[in-house]
Amino acid sequence: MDCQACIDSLTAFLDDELSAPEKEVLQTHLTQCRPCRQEHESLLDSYQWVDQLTDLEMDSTGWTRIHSEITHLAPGKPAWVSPFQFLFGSRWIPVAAGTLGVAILSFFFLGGPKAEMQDEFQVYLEQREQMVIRRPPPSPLEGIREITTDLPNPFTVSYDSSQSNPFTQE
Amino acid sequence: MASGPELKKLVTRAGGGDVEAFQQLYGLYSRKILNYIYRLTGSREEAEDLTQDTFVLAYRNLKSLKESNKFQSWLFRIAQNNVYQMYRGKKPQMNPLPDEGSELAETDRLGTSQKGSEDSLLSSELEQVIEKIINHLPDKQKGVFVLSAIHKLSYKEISEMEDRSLASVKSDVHRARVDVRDRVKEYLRGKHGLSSLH
Amino acid sequence: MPSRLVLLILLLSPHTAAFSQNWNQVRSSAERQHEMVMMLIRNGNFGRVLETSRQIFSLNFPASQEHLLVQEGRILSEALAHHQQFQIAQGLLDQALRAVRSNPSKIDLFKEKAYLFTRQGRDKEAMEFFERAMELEKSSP
Repeated sequence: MDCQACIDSLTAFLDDELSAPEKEVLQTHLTQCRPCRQEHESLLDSYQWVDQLTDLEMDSTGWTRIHSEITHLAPGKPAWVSPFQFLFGSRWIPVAAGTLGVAILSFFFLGGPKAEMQDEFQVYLEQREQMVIRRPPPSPLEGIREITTDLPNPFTVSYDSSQSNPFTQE
Repeated sequence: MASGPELKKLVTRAGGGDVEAFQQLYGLYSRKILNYIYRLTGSREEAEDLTQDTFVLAYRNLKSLKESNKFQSWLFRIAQNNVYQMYRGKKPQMNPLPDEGSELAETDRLGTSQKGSEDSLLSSELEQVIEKIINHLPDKQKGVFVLSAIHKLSYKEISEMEDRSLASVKSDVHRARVDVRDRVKEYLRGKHGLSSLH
Repeated sequence: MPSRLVLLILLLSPHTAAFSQNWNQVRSSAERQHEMVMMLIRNGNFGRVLETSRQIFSLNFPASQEHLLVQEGRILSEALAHHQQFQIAQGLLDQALRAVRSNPSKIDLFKEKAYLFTRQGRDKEAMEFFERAMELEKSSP
């Protein structure tokens, strides 16, 4: 093994990533080569420094927030599906297919929950567009204001949507 | 860390919607994920937020994990993707590296005190320097270095997680190690006038 | 009865005063941080927005004032969206979501995320978040 190959493999050696034969060859080289031995010891320093780095500790409220999020999520697959899986054996396929066909047709003709949701979303978007969170637009004489001067600060004590800074105590 | 069969049980139960089982997984892995993200981003606050996001995403997608023994690297992968998503096209805000022998800013010292550095054998200042040096590694090296040197993942696990060859992981881990060693020694030489270090 | 009421008021008043003082401190801190975030946005210093806005969302807002956090999320994300900084705006709304406890606040913020995704042309994600808001609305008392 030459020195360059040895040096290139030192980290893998220290990480115990070399095979047994590779390790043996490298160790033999180290016993015979002083510069490579020095390089090995020098790299060991960096291992010691990094191993002694202290970790951050988790904030105690972390789980509370995650729990709150995940308990509002629907699970990937509803639990009630599995007991009924036996129903979908081979002789029930035509029945399932027929039901599905009727469902698709009724969604197509009658809208269905998805379409209803989209309608609700459209209504919300229209309302949201109307929501005033800016001061009235500047007069032509005033010129164009940068948006950040248009927007209020919600933490002003007497905040309402036409206020400039909701957090400011009047 | 949970043994193979225990981990498999926990992952299976959590995948079925068992929140208590997922909480146990959180207890086992949250610290690792927090510190992994912290070392990629350099920001404690970002790390806390992204750790939460990682676990919420993991809970939602646990059913897609085929092999429970790959849970750890799968979780690291989610964390890594979250970091890349957040910083897509932009580098995380990084404090500049300290000049050799310079005093660290007050905020840096405060940041260290949060880490409980009184337990460390390194001085808090040196620890800060090493953290910053790691944070300033090129992205390609930083990810694999943190996973290998700090979280002790094997090169094989890292190569699967990062979708890279074993040879490339080995090469980058080595370069990062040498880089960290050289920069820390340079800093120490400047700070203490130590010329005997090689 | 009136004397009991007076006694109750006397007992509670230090707490009320303490609460009021504490809330004022929180409010004025939030007010200052809001202006700092707006200045960062105005100066195009978007990279620092999230670390600064986090100071607002990690303040200890009482439940009665949580609606201000929702409004703050709306206002700041509006400012960022105006500058096409949608990724940061979404990140900011996520900060607000993590800060609030009540379902009505979460519902408003999910809807705000949906609205923002619509502006980004990401209709699929917009719909997903609106559906999450609706699910939460249905499951809330």
